Amino acid sequence: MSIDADVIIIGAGGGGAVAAKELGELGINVLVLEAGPWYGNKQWEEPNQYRGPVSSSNPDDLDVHLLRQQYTRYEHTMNDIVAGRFRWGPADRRRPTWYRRIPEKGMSWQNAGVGGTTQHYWANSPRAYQMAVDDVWPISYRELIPYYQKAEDTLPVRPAPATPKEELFYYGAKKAGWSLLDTLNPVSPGYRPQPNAILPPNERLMDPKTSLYELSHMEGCTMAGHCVNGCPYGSSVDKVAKRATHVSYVPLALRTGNVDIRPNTYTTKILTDHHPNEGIIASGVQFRDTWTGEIGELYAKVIVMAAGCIESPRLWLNSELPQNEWVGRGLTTHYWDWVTGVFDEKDLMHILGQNHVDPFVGHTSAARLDYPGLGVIQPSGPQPWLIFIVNVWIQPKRGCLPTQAIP
Amino acid sequence: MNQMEHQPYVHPPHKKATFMAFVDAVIPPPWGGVAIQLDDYLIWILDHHISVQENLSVKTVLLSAPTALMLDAAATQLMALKGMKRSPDLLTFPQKGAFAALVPNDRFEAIRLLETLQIDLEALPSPYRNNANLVKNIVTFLHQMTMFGYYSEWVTYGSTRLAYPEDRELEGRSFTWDLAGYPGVSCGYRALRGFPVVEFADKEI
Repeated sequence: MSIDADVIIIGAGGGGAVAAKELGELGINVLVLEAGPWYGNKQWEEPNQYRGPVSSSNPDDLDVHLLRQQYTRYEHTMNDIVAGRFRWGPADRRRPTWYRRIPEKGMSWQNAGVGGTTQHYWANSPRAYQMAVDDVWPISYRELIPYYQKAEDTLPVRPAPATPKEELFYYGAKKAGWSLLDTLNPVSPGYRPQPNAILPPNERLMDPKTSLYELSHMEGCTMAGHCVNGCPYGSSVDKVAKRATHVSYVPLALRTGNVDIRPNTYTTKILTDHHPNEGIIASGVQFRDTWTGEIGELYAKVIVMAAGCIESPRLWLNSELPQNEWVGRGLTTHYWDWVTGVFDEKDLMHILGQNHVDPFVGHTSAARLDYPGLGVIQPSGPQPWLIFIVNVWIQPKRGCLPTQAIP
Repeated sequence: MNQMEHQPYVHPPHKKATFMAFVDAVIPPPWGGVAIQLDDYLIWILDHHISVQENLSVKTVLLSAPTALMLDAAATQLMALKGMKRSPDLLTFPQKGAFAALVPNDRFEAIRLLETLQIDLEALPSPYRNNANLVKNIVTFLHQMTMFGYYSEWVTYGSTRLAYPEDRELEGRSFTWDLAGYPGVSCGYRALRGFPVVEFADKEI
């Protein structure tokens, strides 16, 4: 049987892009199938309007000018869960989302597209708590450390810088008696900067001689606060400040010369063969072209499922693959509450030397108070939709700071 | 191409009144949801949310009409529970259905009946009939999307706000951003206050 690649990876998000880079560097020929569009690639100048070519494997196709046009930073255009560029749905925004029947009131906030949900994630990259891994997962925390280190070095993950909203949070945490932690492996409660996959601020950020517009076209974070809207700031795609996988791992994967990425390709089934010695083995995939509706098949020696915490188990079950006790287990969600504080201007003046604090400035979340075994409190400052609580439920007053508690 | 493409955005008065009543309750005047015609946003979103595979093609499920009827069913049930006889709010919503005829607090009570499933599920229109999961999910979704529409830049697309998303063009700035104290999109802020931790210490354990 002819094969299309050594390895087919399903999904080009947080997992698939990493696997593609690692395998490509080993000289293995990889084909990545991604259900959504590819932003910031010259092969798809208008990825939501035209089907474009089948795939791209050339790092020179990556274009930060296009990424800046496409990542407008506007919430409705980017984040609307029904019609936004970041949604769980086809590239063609005239068409509905891929509907998920979610019982109860939950929401599955995922993005299709190269980069997957890292396109809108806040780049918060904490390690799991050791107690949440050992004797829970089929791998120990100690075994995980080298993988954490490798990803933290590659992205890279750095201690987040402070802006006024973090200073205020640190002031409160310290005053409440908690200690500052400088560790990636907290075992006792304390506060610390978020480990964020965001490049450090440009050295000229605080120098008014360089305009903010110029800085947004240079390397380094500008504290613009658009992490959730899709960060377009940087001198080239691979130097964009927020290290979503389409600007971090995907460029590295393409540079190996062994990786081809095919957007607009929704994998619908894992195809299997019966091997005389090994029993049932995965031999390929069935897919649907999201622009044409055409069904096709692709074959490889190995199939890697990296379609996310919902699609991978769904695909496994829909493909009637052999029973495995880990399929569908271990789903980890954000189970959160929001608390909003209103501060007196005099207090802010005393703590910060200014009479206001703007939630939308700086990394969307750049600090955290860890309480291993219990949860996390993190200050957060996203865009107007998510700060609506400040103004709807509490009379507006300058100096509001939303805080999340995530058990 | 789906079947929505050439549908004009003229809604039956009853449906429009029902969603106006919903956004009016969630974001009341002044500067409320009705002022920016957020009902149009909810109807558009509901009619572009769900698709199902049919034998020959993918079909879009138009949810706005059954959702309006579901709100009416909840309102009718509330009226029966409370022994109400007629609308106290006829002037605001002359094209009333039962939901639009309720005063805002009663609209919330009707929504609460849906959220808690204290409703005759058999009396709801398809696809809500005997579909408790969808009822709860969409009622929450309506709240979220009302807030999202209000604070996002949707209203500033003006005359293009109901066009297909890629055809919308910004025509100004929303007053909702001023209410929220949000200055708009930004290239950056000179707000660096330093690094409480320069390097994390124990990368290994």
